[in-house]
Amino acid sequence: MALPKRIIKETERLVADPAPGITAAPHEDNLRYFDVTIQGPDGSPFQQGVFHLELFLPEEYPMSPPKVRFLTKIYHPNIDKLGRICLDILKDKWSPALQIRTVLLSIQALLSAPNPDDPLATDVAKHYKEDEKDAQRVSREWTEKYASK
Amino acid sequence: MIHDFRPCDGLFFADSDDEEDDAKSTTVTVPSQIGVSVQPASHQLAPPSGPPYSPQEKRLFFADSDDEDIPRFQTPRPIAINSELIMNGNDSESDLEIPSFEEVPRASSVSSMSSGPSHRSSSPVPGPSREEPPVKKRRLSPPSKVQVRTGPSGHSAYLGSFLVGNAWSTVKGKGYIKPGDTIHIERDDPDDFKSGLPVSGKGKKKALPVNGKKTQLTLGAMLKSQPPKTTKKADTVVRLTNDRGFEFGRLPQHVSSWVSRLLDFGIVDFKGSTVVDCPATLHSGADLIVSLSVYVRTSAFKPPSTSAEGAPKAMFNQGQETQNEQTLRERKSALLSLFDAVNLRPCRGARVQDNGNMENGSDGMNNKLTQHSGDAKKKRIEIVGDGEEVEIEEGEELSDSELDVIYKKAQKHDQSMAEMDPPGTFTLTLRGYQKQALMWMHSRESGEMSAREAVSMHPLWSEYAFPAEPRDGIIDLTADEKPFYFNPYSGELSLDFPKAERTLKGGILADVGMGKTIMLSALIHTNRDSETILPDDTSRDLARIRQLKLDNAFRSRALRQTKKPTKGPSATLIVAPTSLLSQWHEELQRSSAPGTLKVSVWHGQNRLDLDGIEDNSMDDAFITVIITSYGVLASEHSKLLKSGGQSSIFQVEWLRVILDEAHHCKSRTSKTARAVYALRARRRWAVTGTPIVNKLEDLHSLLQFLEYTPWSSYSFFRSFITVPFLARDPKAIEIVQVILESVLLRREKNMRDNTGKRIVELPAKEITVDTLHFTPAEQKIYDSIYNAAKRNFDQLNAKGLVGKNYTHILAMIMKLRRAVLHPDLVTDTSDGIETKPSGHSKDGAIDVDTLMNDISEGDSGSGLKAAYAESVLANLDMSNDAECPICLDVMQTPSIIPPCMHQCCKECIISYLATCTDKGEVPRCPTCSHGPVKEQDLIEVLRSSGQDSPHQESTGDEKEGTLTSEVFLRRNDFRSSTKLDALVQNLRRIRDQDPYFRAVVFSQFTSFLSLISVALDRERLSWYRFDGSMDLKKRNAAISEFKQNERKPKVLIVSLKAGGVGLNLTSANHVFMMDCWWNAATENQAIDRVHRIGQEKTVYVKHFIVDHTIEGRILQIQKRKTAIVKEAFRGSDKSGKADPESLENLKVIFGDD
Repeated sequence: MALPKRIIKETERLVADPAPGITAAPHEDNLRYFDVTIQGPDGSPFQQGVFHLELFLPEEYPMSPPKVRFLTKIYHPNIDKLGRICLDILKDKWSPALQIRTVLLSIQALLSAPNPDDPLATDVAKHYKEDEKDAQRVSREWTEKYASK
Repeated sequence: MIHDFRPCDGLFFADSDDEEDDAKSTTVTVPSQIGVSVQPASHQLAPPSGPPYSPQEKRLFFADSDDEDIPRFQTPRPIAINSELIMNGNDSESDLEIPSFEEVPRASSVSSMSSGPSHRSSSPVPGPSREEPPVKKRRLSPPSKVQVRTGPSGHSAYLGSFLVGNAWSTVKGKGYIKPGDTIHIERDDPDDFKSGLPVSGKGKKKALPVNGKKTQLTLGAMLKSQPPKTTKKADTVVRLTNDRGFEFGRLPQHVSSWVSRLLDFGIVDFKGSTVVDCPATLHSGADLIVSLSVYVRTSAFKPPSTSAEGAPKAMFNQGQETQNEQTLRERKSALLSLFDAVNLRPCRGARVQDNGNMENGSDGMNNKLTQHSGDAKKKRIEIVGDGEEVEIEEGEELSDSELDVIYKKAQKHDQSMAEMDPPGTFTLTLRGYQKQALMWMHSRESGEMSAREAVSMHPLWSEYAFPAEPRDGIIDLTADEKPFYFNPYSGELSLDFPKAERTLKGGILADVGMGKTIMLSALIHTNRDSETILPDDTSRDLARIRQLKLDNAFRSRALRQTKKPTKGPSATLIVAPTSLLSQWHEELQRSSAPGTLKVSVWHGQNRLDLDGIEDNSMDDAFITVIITSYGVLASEHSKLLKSGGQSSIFQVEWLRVILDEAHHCKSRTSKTARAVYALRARRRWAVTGTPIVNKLEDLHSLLQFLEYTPWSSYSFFRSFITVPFLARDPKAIEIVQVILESVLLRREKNMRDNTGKRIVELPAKEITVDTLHFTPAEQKIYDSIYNAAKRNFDQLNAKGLVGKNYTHILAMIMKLRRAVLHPDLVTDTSDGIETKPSGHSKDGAIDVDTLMNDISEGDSGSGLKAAYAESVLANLDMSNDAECPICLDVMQTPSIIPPCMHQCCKECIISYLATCTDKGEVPRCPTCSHGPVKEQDLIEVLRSSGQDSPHQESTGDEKEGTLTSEVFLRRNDFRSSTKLDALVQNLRRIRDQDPYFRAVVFSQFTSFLSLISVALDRERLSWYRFDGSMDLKKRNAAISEFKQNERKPKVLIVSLKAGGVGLNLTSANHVFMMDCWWNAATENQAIDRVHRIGQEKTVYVKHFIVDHTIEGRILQIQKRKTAIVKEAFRGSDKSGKADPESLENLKVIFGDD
């Protein structure tokens, strides 16, 4: 199956003009499969951490959203222990006008602004709601432990 | 063809007890051949040696009247045959009598005849006759003594004698006859038995072969379909009577079958026939040996009536013989039997070689072929036995390769032909090959033929010598042998030398895409002189004129014509399909110096003026050309056929009649064909690229129009070409080649001249096939229709009912084919189009103010949005490289989503909206999630490219709605389709390269043409439409407007059926084939409307095919390229039955990939 022009264009642009703190590179044997890293945003508990993600563009892309998952363990209310991400644009708010870059920037933003009111990892969300400081500490610990460069 | 008239020995005795006594049938144990073999002596009597001949140069056809005095036939001297004398030792000479057959003897019943001696009625003829009281119905010609030189029938010539070894007695007792007695050969009067029609002249009658007995001998008759009404038994009884007129015996069936025909048709007399041997006492069924001497009547040398007026009774059945045709065939068959019996062999000609053991020797053929055709004959009997013609027709199909072979020979010498320049009144310049055609046509019209053609005998005729008549038992070898000519294929006899080339003036111009119109125009200019009436035409013409029932309008003209007999016709009539009338008109005008040609189209209301035009044709100042259509001609002809009706077009004698696209009258029984045959003309031209459409018989109709004897006779054509072809006899093709070589000129565009250059240098033709893919929505619609159709087909197939539901299945296939083009062609309503708001122009344009109003009304609160919208609209004309947020590409057809004014490619946004709907989500703007968004609310932004926008010339109403001169908006309220989009995209691309392009779009579906026109409107492309539903005037207007030289792009949308042939559209150089037809030839012919003489640019042809649809399957069938395929689908009206091949094709269509 030939790769749609749009994917090729996006890939070229990701490589040529990467978003700050984000890298994304397609696998040689599957150009729909990307290795992604996101730097933890400054001022967040994930600062200094480098998180690995995988991103896959399904057949219907861009009519359907890409599938994205954290490979690096992360302590975040909207990301479960399997790395799955709870983000509206990856689900019903997807629009074909969004791109890989915008998706990754949204995830990066999610790290800065966890949303425990719409949790995926319920225990982490509970922790964040009850004692945000302590929860952020755990997040920092995990970042140090699992996401150090 | 030979086997037609060969008596079939094997079948001979199968059922011969029909009319004869039972006793007789037991006696007839010898096959007919033995009848021949017991007469060794008679062989000596027919000298086959070849002394010098003196071919008659003048026709000696005798009129029916008896008072003609032709010396050669005046003095038959019938005497006893030498051999008989030897055999019998009887001096019977003085007893010989010659019966005469001025009238065919009346019939009497068998019982009455065998009841005992009866008396002869009084004789109507002079001569020493012994009057006897009449008995019952009997009316016999009187016997005449040997000394009577001429029978009352006038003139007859000795042909030979033969023995019949197994004649049989019908009486009992002594004293009827004794060996050596003269006997008479008699036939019952046809009126007693027959419903058959007397054909013409005396003694001829129509005999229908019906029962088994009859068919034994005329097996050929079985090969033809039987006439539908066959209730009466055929009568072949030939009675033998003695001097006193008593019937004492009959000829055996195998002899009487053809003797009866010869007598019925008035071909021969039997004079001086004798009894050779008989028992002293006769009893019923006793064997008699008789010797018959045959004299051929002069009237036999008159051409048999082959009138085309024999109205075909079986319109439903093309292959059905007319009565005339059957008569001819029987006559032919009987004559062949006769020649064989008297051992008369041709001295030269078609059947020179002796092939002893073949009864009617297929000498001209080689034995292998004869054998072969013999086999095929049996097959054909079975088929025809059912009275079914359908299967016969199938075999008559010609494959493409066979067609190639047929034309090849006719094309062989074409490149070296001489050229001829047209006269000054012809204003165009002819190309080399066109000058060649002019030379050829000129020579065909002026009748200049090569000397070789004039002296060579017609290939189908044989020369025979009249055998010297034995006088007093001695053959006078010093007597001059007179030749006569016999055509074993048509049964014609002639005293005239049959020349290979007949008086045909005209021919078939079968060039393909070579500018036939121009060539014929040049011919009209070149051979403009009115012909004086030719000597051999005079009688016929005068006769016709006499026959004409002239109405008042024409009486004057006719009188004038007779007053000036030296002034022949000078006008040319051109008959063409309705769609081409004006093209002929224009081309003729264009090619003529002003005032030299007067062209009138005789169609519609103009028809009333014909007599006036004819008056003008008497002027020498200009050439008169009348153009009319086949339809008009046919209706005029049926008017003529009505009692008292008349039609001027058939009363005028034309100098020249030209049939354009002459294959329109390929069916000889159609009204059109018969109308065409009825035209009176000196010179006849049939112009067609396909003289043979798919059967050899297609050619026959053209030959009949051309009056190209003898091929114009259907029985001739059928027995000599069609039947052998069905028997896979290669000779048939050869003969067609010979015919075509003499009357047909065919060059093709890719032929090369003698210097190796292509005779026509046409610009290149680039054909591309664009394989398209359905949008998901279209795919869904198509799939559902396909699945329903396939289920239906599979069910029928399982039950074996496909053949019966053939038309139903074809209808399903049509639906599928429409579904490929556009969903609206198969769905009843279209929601998109209905919601079209009022006040829109037809191209869906909307103006910016309206749009802004809509936006402000919708979002009165947010001035921001309105400002954005305004800026978007303001920037539309600049930002023509904006990127689509969905495909990230430059937007080809940007669509604005109101009211947020975000833009996407049209395809992208429509596809996204469809996805949303599929998922059950509200369709939203992809950029801002505004929703819901409706497809038909989208606003397309159209930009016309180039500095000199064609729209600057456009009329006022188109300006309305344009933002600037270069950008305009339109609502997306038209549902397009994959194919339409592809077309539109291509046209846009072409317009970018060539702002004044001309394109032709073909489709078979007029409903799709309508959708195309809407799509073109939306693109603001000028389009012109040409289809079969339009009247002539509209069609002409469409073509001429399309051709008009204007600084704007133009598109002609043409229905494949109406415009696939004949039109000249060389002003365009882009062709789009929207759908595919069952055979590629039709498509190619359509493409050739553009890619033909006069085309100066490269022609780009684009076929649009949607992948994984029925279209792919159609292409598959196209590739199989069998002749059957063409017929299977073209002729779906043909009895609604499917043949195996088309069932296969259906399986291709509904098969799994």
